[in-house]
Amino acid sequence: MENNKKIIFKNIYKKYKDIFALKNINYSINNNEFLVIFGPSGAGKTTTLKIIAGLELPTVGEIFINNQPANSMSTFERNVRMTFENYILYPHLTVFENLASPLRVKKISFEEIKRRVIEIADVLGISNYLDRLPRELSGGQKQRVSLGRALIVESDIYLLDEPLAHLDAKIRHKLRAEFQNIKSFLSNSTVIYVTHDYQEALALADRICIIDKGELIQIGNPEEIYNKPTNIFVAEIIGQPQINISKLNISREKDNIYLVNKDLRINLTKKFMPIINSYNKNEIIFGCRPQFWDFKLIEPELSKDFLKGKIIAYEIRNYRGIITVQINDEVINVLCDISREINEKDNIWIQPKEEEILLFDADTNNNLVTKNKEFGDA
Amino acid sequence: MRYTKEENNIIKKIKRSANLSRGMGFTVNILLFVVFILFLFPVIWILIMSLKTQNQIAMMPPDIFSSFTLENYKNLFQIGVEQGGTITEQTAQTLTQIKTAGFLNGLMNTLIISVTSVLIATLVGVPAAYGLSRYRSPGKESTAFIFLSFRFVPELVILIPLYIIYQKVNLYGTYWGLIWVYILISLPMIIWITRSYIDDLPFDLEQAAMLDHYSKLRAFFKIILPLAKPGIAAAIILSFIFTWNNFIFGFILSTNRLQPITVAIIRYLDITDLNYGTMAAAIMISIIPMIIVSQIASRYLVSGLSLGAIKQ
Repeated sequence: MENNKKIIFKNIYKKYKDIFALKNINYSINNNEFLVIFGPSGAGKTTTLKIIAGLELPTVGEIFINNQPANSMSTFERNVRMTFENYILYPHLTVFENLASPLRVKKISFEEIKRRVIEIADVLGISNYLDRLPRELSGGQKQRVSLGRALIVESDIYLLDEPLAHLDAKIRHKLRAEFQNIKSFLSNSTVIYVTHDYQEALALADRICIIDKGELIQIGNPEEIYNKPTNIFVAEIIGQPQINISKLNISREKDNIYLVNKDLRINLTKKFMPIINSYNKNEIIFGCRPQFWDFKLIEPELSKDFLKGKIIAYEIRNYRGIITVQINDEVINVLCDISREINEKDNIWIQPKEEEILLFDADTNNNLVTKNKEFGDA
Repeated sequence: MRYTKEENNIIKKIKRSANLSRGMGFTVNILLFVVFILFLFPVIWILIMSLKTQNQIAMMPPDIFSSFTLENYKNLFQIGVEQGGTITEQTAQTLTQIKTAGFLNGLMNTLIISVTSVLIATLVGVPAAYGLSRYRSPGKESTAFIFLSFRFVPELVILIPLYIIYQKVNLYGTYWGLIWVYILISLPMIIWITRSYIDDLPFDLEQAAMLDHYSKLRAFFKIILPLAKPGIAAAIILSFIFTWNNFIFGFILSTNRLQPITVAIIRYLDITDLNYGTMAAAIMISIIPMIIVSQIASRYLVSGLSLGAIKQ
């Protein structure tokens, strides 16, 4: 067994009454890594955390912690700290007592407890609220107390279940910045962070694990997830505005390959030959992210390589412009720098950047580029 | 917090608009007063009766507010009685002595029996409620329902079999015999009220405690019990009142020495006189412990103890 695998999931299935919350989960988490588990609601993220913490047992399968079989280890024996998505603070105890509670069980002297509580309260910015009860705190403050209660005990494994979920954008932004600090505080531990916000995932993770409906879809570092998504689900779930996806037919004319439907016509270079040749179907799904399109506002010389469309909307979000282009029945989003020259109802000519084109199997939705070994360094 | 004058005015306006309109408020208050009087009427009647002499009580038309006397209360606690006089008077004096002793004795008995039975029922019932609420086992709901069903049985129905059994096992006329039967009254109520209260506490709290390395026992005492205090307090008040009020078990299953107060009070209606006044005074005094317990326990009947624990 490799020595740097902190947690190993082997054939884990988890059933609640008649529903499988987790199916065929097989992966491992490395020592000292910051793993983000990402997926839509109900995917099985919290269930995974609970199985690691020992609050739930898998229906089938085994979990290994530190290379020891851990199914029969009680929560007590596993050295994990966890925050819950809905805080779960002790309502009848003050913030101080909530933070101190895991220490009190360990029979540490009161001086030491007080010192550590004040230290963690400073780091999280809640020093002024130590006397308050949970019902007197705002959401952001409760979130921080919950985090403090988990962090106050040093541990090998930290499980953070959507710690920034229910906060408004401003506080979330602030805490996310503070989180980078906390991350260095946690750099000697394995952290498993659950979120359904892809920006947090891309910003904080060493590796991202994407799950949907209880199944593992893809696991890899942020760059892989972003540039080499396993299937359309991953491509769509990461990135805003969403990746542009169109169903097209393959058409060969002489030496060139074109992807066409009634509205679009995209030229593929010879680089894509091996993929197209080994792909035996006629229909293919084409994808290209909004930031990887070139566009011109005046008719370009080689206009036949460009797609001509009409700007139906121009929005500014996060200091970038989003142009919504309509080509008959197809709608394509293009990301650009803010410019005053872009107006609605103008004509626009767009072309996808060749190296950022993604191709997916029309039936399985799988990424053809990464599955094809002949294609460069896929 | 201290507000400025403007803030105070704004607060007053908000409060006023949130209340009922003037006319409605008045009607509601009248109705509340009527209900209040209806509930309190018997108690007030007994109170007034306890402050009058026998003659005044029997007067028709009833003369409520004329004169008050504490004579009845003195009669209750009479220990030294004049000796001598005619045979009738002597008999009356002896009977009075017996009645006084019986009253104090009865008070003591009810105190011992009620407190002990409610105490035992609490010590057993609260953990049982926790178990019923949190653990899974086959037939759990059936068991819980069986506990509840003890309250469904009318006391008169089980009285004769119980009397026969008690005679046979020598529980008749013992403290433990009565305590045991009183537990029958209080335990189901404590289990059911506490259980439904613990059901409402989020289970995640105990999971959080487990992660903090609390043992199950410590989690029970430090997390569940403090939060379940209102439910337990309500259950204790109700059980105490029901056991204190119980007449039939004490009447049949105990001897003179062990009568609870409810039975002892009846003795004030005997051959020598129908001393309603003294009986009323005895009733007033016997109510006092219940009032004390209710007042103390009602401090715990606060709502919203577990607010702020989880995200709603």
